[in-house]
Amino acid sequence: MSRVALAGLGQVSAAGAGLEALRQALGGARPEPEWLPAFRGADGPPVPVLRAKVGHARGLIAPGAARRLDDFSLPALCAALLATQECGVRLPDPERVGIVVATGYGALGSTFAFLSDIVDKGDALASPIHFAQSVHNAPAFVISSALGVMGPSTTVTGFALAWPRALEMAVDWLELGRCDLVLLCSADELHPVAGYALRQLGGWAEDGRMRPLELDVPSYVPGESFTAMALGRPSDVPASWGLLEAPRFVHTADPSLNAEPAAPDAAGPEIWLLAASGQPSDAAGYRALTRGARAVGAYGALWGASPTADAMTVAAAALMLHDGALPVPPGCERRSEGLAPLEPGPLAPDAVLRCAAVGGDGRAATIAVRRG
Amino acid sequence: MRSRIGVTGCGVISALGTGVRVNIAALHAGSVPPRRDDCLVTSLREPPRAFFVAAALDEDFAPIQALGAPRLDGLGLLRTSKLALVAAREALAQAGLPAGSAPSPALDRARVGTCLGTTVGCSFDAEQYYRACLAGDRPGPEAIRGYLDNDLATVVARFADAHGPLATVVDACASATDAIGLGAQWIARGRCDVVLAGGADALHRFPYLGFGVLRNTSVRDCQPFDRNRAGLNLGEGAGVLVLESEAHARRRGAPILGWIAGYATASDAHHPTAPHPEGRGLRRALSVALEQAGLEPAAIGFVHAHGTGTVHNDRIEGQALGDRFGANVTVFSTKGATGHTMGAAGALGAIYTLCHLHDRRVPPSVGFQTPDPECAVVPTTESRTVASEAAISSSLAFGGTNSVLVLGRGELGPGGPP
Repeated sequence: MSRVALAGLGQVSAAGAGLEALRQALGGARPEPEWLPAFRGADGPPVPVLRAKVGHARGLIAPGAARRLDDFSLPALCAALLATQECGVRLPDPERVGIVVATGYGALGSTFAFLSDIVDKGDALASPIHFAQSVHNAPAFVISSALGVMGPSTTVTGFALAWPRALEMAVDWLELGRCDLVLLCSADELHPVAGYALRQLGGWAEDGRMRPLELDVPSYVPGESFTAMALGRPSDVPASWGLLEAPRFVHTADPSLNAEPAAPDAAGPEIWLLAASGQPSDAAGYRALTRGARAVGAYGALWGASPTADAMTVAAAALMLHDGALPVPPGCERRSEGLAPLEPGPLAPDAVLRCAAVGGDGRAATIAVRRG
Repeated sequence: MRSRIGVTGCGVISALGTGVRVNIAALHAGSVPPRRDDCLVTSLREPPRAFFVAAALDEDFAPIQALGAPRLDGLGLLRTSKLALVAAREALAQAGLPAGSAPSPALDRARVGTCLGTTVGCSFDAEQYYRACLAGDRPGPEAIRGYLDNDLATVVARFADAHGPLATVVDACASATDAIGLGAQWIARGRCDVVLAGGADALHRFPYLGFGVLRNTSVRDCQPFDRNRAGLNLGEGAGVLVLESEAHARRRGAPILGWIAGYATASDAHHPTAPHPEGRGLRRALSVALEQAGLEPAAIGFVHAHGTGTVHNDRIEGQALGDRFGANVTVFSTKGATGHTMGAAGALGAIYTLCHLHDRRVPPSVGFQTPDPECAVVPTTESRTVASEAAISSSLAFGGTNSVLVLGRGELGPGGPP
């Protein structure tokens, strides 16, 4: 199985910006949800969300540059700077650094800002800046420009499993020798219009508290999260924050569709961390994945649900392994029958955390994280 | 590429018509689709020229959706998805592969990937929904459901009953080229035998007005590489290629219509909507793609250029191509005939290039009249004979993305004989 070294790690989420903020959240400082204000004209009840807090990370960006960025690209850039500058990652030849970004909803804020301009000002007077920032690959540009990197850059989207696919691409680029370092990023923001729309689909936790391991109970709380991981070949860069295995993609509903010879053995010694997010439609998939697992946890209540929040689970796993401790999973006081409990406490040096995410059509991805 | 990646099927829909050969014939004829100002409502006093697919998708589409039953049942498919499925149906048929779940002993569906590019089709830019919200009409969940149901790669995978890797690539106007490159990589890495790759985008008010306020569009017919060029014309369409490992295609006796010989993408790291003034990323992408293909520049018979008809794109792209391949290189752009189809453009370019390689004939660059010395290259003005085994299709995009495919001549022409 292919492995890559995690040389740098950055995140911006409801927990705050940076690894210390994530560490504190994992240690018990659970972020409180905000109630997304109703946008003009819509009179639905407010929507609980876990909004990302850029905080001190804004200081990593030149003030003039930060003002020009929207709420999609700015936190993504902050995460990338945290993963490189704050982690002391030295960038190699700029043409040998690649960027892969995964996003589900893209630049919601700039998209609706552009539409607002059309409505308020007319067809001819909308802001070109809003339009330019509305493309899904805007963060990839902002990061490449800020860091001066000129290697391959690709953004992938999807409402589930886009980030594991992006990780696979990063591993390929490293193994094929196309890059010496890849910045793998995830980015998903929220917007009141999208909140109103998503709310109509139902399944929300009205109290704003996600209960991710009650698999059949709707407790969806949307969240914003942005991650960046500086990945390299283990022979070339220090695995300061751990080692990631290439993702395994499996069909949980129909194992005969699995092209890979074997799905990961849930009954092995690995500890399973689920990217479950209070959506009962994923329950069967998580049950199928973890049948026989000895320990199952989930930490999504700290950052909320988004199409690419599975990246946060992997980031948290890397931090837990680095720190050598498995914290209490928040919101998991009750869990569905059959999910083995997770005992918080020290992690053995050779512990493996297997992160799992379930998507549509019974597809799922798992990623093993080890200490560096 | 470490193993040879063939193309065994192609499908296209554009303003020129539905079907690969319909498009190629129109390109050689120098056809320019008529204006269809009824397709898009705007209050602009001078609406930029745009190209629309004339086919009545709603009427023609029902049998295609039925082919994807039951996996497409109940989905409110949006126009971008419909365009993609029209192209996918043609591509699968040409490859001799069934759409839907019809039995196909030659195919392990777990090893069929789907990798599609789009740039408009991925955005929740539902203007009518937004206006209804603002008006206090409290619109229902149909719009968000439609958005979530229309992830492009998922829709096409359901249509093809493909259960292998899945990705929707969103690199703005280089999306389809990058999707083809990624799909080829899946095969080269042994994950897939077959990948449906390409791109699709429908044209509606959001991108139309967006490119307009960027002052990138022209009210006249666009004139790629022309001294008097005044901007691009947007278009819509889809292109889908069936990529297949050579071994798999040989095993089932599928003719190879062309080869994905090399692919590269590189960033400018310069400007969100304008190319680097010296074409930094494009020059690197050309070098890496040629290196990957194991070809010298002299082996490239022609270049299907991005050639949008904007002042900056054509000057910078022309200079990079002239420097790499010489000022006399055979270059052309099809944007004057199809419009700039955004996330689909790279797929149309790749399919057209494979056809031209096979036919040994390239079309005129519709719209071009007067050479611009600043562009360094002079595009074709009439159909021209070319004899080469390899050619290039390039894509430049917002975000400073530059992507290049090196394509090789196959045994049969896509879409049948010319």
